[in-house]
Amino acid sequence: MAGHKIKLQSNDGDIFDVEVEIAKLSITIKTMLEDLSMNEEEIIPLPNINSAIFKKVIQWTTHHKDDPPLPPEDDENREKNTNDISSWDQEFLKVDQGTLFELILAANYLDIKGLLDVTCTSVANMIKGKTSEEIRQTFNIKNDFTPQEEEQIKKENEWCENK
Amino acid sequence: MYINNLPHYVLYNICKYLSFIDIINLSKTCKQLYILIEKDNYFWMILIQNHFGSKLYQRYVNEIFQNKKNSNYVLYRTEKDIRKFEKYFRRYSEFQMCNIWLLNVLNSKDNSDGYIAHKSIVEQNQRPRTNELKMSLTIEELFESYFNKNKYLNKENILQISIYKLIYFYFIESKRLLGVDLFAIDLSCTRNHRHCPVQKYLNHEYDSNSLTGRCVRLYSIRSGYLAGIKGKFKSILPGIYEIICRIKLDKNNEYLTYYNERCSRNHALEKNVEGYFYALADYGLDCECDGKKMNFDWFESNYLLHGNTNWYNETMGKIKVFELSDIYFGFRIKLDYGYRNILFDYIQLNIIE
Repeated sequence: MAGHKIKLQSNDGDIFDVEVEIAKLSITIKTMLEDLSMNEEEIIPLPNINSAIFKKVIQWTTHHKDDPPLPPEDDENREKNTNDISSWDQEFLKVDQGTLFELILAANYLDIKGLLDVTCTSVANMIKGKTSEEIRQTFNIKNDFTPQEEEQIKKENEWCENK
Repeated sequence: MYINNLPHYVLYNICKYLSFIDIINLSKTCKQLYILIEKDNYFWMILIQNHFGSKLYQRYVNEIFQNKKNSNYVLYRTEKDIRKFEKYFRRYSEFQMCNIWLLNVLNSKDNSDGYIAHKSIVEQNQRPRTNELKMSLTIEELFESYFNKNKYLNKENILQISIYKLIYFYFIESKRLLGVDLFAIDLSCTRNHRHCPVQKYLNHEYDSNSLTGRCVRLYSIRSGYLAGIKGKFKSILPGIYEIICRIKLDKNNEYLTYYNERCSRNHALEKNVEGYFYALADYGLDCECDGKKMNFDWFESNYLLHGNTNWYNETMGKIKVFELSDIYFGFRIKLDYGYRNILFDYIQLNIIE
């Protein structure tokens, strides 16, 4: 039934009314509803997701609710592992890194493949073409190698980096 | 929340979108990522699956190291076998050797390099071609193929590298030979074998749109009655490879005059166009591309499409390799190509299965 809603609760206690069709884009929720035949009045808890992130997830799924289902990942569409992101998604993903990572975790937990793909692509695009030092700066990674270890790793990789 | 705190599964997913060099740079940022990427076979197994599909994954992760060697494998590699091969060739006089296409392709005039491939071919002619052989490889052979090509690796340090990283790298590594590095085959040795150079390069031509700015021309003239090039890919691992040649077609006036002279006498000559490409592996099924494909129509239709200014990739066919092999190939055009020339930039192997 269109417009039919269920209640989902984030880990900080807020309750969201979400259309079933949209909620079901999450395989995790879909499985809960179908296999566990949960009562529709029951509130489904989402212990791994906070309200701010869940709002973003709903925003994304609402926009993408009419997308054709993603084809299964097989050999034919393997080539399409492109790094292109649609302009709506680009705008949507203009968030700080913490939020982006939280979104990835949420997409992973809720099993929303489209959202996981686009967020991972976004992180990959931040890594592409950068040196190790530039990657560290981008993600605030602390260099915990000693100079000797760095030298050692450089040597280890000679075989595949020098032509 | 930091990138290195993400669960492994998510990091695998991110690396799916990265190139090899991006991944190596990522591994050098901190210990945690270094260990995840460099010390974990599973990471590279997932990448093989993601980048090359389930067929190659199946073959290289699950099957190839388990499969037994084909029965005649050892036989081919003994010293005795080499001597037998050399003896077999001594039956020919040098003059004959120089004029036998296959022996030229195998470069066996001067050494016994091609004996395994030659033996395979002879056997292939005697028995029906079979697809039933299993592809097989040992870790030692995988290492050997690297030692043959990579000066940085030795018996000690190669053990520190995940074998799946070695396999992944093999897949992405370009397997390409440039025309200007190849030797010419000139089957016009004179009776007493004089003036017959041992290794001859074709003349290079400048072409700003070729990969290195230089290419070679396959042509035939009155004195050089068959011209071609030959080359060898070293240490190719089992798999099915597509063979691509980057070529350009040319009809030029220098030869047009010569051609017209002949054609006016014999009109049938005009359609008598034939190219020939042949590739064979030490252990594998060969790839042949003869006048049935590279004929008058082939030349003319491609000339219409690409003219004499555009380089394009011609797929020569597929070659199937069962065990670690060298791949030899030869490419020639026949006399009656007349003023039709083929410019050759490079040849490349792409692993597809």
